[in-house]
Amino acid sequence: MDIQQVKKNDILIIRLNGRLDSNSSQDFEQLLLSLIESGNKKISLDFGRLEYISSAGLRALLVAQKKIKNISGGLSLFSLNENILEIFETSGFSSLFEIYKNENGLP
Amino acid sequence: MDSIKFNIINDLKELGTLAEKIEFAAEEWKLNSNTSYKINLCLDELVTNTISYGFNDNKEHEIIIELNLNNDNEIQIIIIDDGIEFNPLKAEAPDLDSELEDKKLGGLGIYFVKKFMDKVDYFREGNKNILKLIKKLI
Repeated sequence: MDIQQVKKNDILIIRLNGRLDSNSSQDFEQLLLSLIESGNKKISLDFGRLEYISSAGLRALLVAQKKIKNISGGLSLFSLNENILEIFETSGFSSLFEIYKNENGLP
Repeated sequence: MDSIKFNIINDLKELGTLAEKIEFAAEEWKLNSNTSYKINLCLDELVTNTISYGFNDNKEHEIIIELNLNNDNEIQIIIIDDGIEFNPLKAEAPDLDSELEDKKLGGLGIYFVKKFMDKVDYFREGNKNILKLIKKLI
């Protein structure tokens, strides 16, 4: 999975491209944790080019959300495709993150 | 052709092979993206479990996967490995309702398998674990 980062005002936007599965989730989790450790409190993940996520990917997001909430921050997501949205809803993960339809929805 | 069979080795990099084969099946059998996503996800979750926990000898093992289109109205998925005896269906259920702080994640992968497949059966035959899944096509 490829990553691009862009800062927009006080939000760090991370654009994901590809697949977030058990093969890529550990590196991604480490990246998120180190970004949070450097003080990024508002991180928003662009799922527009993410084709696929599995439970390993969800787990990585959960670990990051717990950590960022500890510094009074939050992780949000946007542009989830239909299939991925269903995964979030089925697992109950849609209630753990702010999810926006697209980038324009970001506060 | 209504049967696609292939082997992968016990390495998580093989998830890429899995995705390719399922994409091929989806094109051949005209599966919609939601169905092929769910087939990919369930195979991924089971295979990831097997690769991560199913072998204790640091050796290369083959995992045999078969996708069968039955009567144009269902996909049968068969996964065979020669790992330690393990029935993933007996895994602990995940905790879907709890608060963020308490959320534990055991068994989320298996939860998806049971939720998205219409039938899931496990067998132990000799030294093999066999999983058979059915996904009905609408």
